[in-house]
Amino acid sequence: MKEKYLGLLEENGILTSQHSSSIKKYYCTRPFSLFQELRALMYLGVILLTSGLGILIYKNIDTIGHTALIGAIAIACGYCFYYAIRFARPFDYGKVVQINIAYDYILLSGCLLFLALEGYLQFQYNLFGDAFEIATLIPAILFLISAFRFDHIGVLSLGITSFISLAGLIATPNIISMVDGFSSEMVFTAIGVALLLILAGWYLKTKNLKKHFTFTFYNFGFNLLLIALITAQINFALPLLYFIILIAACGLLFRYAVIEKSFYFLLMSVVYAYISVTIAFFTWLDSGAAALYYFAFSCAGVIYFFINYKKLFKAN
Amino acid sequence: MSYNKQHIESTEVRKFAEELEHLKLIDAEQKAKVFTIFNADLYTPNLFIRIGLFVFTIVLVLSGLGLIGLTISALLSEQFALGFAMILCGGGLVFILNFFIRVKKHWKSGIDDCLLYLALIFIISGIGILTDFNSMNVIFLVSIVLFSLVVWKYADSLIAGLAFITFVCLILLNTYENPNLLLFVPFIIALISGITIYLSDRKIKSAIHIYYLKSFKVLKFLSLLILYISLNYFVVKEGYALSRSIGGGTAVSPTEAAIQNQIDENFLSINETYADTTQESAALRDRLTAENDKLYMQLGMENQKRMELDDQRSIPFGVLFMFLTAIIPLAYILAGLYKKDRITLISGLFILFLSALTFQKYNPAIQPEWLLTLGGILLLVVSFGATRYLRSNHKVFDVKEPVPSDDFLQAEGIVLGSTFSTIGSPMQADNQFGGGQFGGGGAGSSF
Repeated sequence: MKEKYLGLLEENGILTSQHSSSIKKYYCTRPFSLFQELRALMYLGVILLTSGLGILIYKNIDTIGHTALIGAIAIACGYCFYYAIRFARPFDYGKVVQINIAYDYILLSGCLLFLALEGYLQFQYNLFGDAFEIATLIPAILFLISAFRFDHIGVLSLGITSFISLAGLIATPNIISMVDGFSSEMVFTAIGVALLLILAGWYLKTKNLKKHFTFTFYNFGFNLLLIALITAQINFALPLLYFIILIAACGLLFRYAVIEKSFYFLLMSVVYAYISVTIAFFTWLDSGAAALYYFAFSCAGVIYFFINYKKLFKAN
Repeated sequence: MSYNKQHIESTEVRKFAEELEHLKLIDAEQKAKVFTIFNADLYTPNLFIRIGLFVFTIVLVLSGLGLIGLTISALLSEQFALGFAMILCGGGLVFILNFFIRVKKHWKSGIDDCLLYLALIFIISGIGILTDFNSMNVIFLVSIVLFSLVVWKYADSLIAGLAFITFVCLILLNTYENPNLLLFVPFIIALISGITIYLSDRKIKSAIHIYYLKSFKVLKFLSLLILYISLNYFVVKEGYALSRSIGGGTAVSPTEAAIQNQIDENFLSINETYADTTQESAALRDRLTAENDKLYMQLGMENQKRMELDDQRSIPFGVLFMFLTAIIPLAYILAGLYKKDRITLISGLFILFLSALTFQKYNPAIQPEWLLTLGGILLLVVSFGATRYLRSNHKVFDVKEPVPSDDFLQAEGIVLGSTFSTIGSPMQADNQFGGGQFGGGGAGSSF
């Protein structure tokens, strides 16, 4: 296949035959990369080993004993963090490539083991009692610090998740109240947390501190914000207000997507805006055939927008 | 081919030129020249936009057709009319698809894929409705012909894979009920897969039609998988069992038949006892009913025994299938490494997992948790060991992330070799990138 392309390039006088044959030689002799395959095997190995060990421990808990098990998890977790600290590259505000492929996995395992350890202690000895807030606060802080220190996006996602759960716990201390449906406290907490995350991402970007974390912050922040706003639009009074805020947020996200050339955020902003517009349409207008007309015309509009958004923005 | 072949080829050449520039094998000026000469005026958006276009096109087409359907709903109550209308819809969608391809120059834009799939669904269901879903053979045959046409005209890799799977299903459909043919079904399907592997591999290597390349790759991957699946011990055994149960199961044993006979006779006698109302006949009736209860229990036990025996019954060529289940994954992995063929290698790794599951199922000694634990340890040891080994021995294989910047040093060496050594002796060029003195761009021992 490559020979064919090289032949075409040669025919059109872009490459000399000598240049082309040296390129051919490069492709013939370059090593075959097993990077992806070995990575996949490592990943699979970790999953198999942990699930196998989990079942083994579950079946033999009577003979092993809780204390021994907790001790083992604590030692493993401690070793992972020791390794992470011992072999970490110096801190930098940019991207940091750690010493080897295994490093990232070891750090991630350390964090997951920490969660397992904490959960075990809580389940077996009721360590934190009813103070779930503390139980979520500790991993949130630990993971966020680790993510920044060791430059790990996976751990950052874990940290943000625990942070969001912490906020959720503070907002609805009584778990049962969540069953009744969306309380206004929950939705407003979600909006607040989301704004905080978006602000954090924006701050990192503008100050050029770990700029590559912005995507993760925005991803969590905007998803949470837009879902909360859609919930508010459906359930609360003044749906028009939430609708307008949501469209504005989508506009912001769209602007960011265009500037950063992120097609993921572009799709996200359009889909959330479309959902919101559709909800608004059906709350104000309620008839069978109109729905078909609405979907036909609105989808055509969105498709037109997707194909032509570049032109539309150049015109502006 | 409905698309503009020239432009698709140009797109690929442009991609290749970008790769070469990234590897510093050509300079920006040469790349710019490629872009002016190889004109590719096709609309192919980013993956996320493609997903968006795909989803919104589905909703648009369905609601549009819903509106048309509402206006002529009276007509559609007739089965014939409905089937005909669906085929017509499919035809209309193909017309729109061709408009997007010819006029709007779409190529894998999300809209063209979506229209193509919807058209196929409408046409095939239309034919199904017209034939009252009587004959699966007709639907399968029509589908295969349609899919092949579509692959030829639109070079869609998903449909290429679907065509192959439909073909295999057609063979299965026509053989599984025939006990004489059943024995050969695994070998027939394996043979067909083998031929497909060979042919698609040849097509991939020759690369005459670049736009069909992906279809052939999908075909090769699927035929590699189906070759293994058709010879897998579990699949063959369960397949035979399924076919037997569809054919009425195995014959009842003589003991079962005798018990059933006795039960029937007893019932006849019980019926006769109702003819008179004497004390004796009532006693006889009770005795026979009690006896029948016992016989029913015996019958159930015999039945159970027969089913268990059935389950344990070895399949013809059982040892051969066991052997193949073990050997095919290893053969794929070795062949993939030897030929540096990623498709074969990945399918080998994938089916290795299936083989492990198969052996676990027929070997109660292997407990699943131990299989998981030991398998996980083995995978970790192999992958870490290989990574460590390949970091210092990266002449044939390496573990570098296939990012162009990592290839930078090596590739630069060659360009230096080609531009400075105007005499271009092959020995000199060899020295440039042999022997590993370029240290593997960051993964070497210097850290």
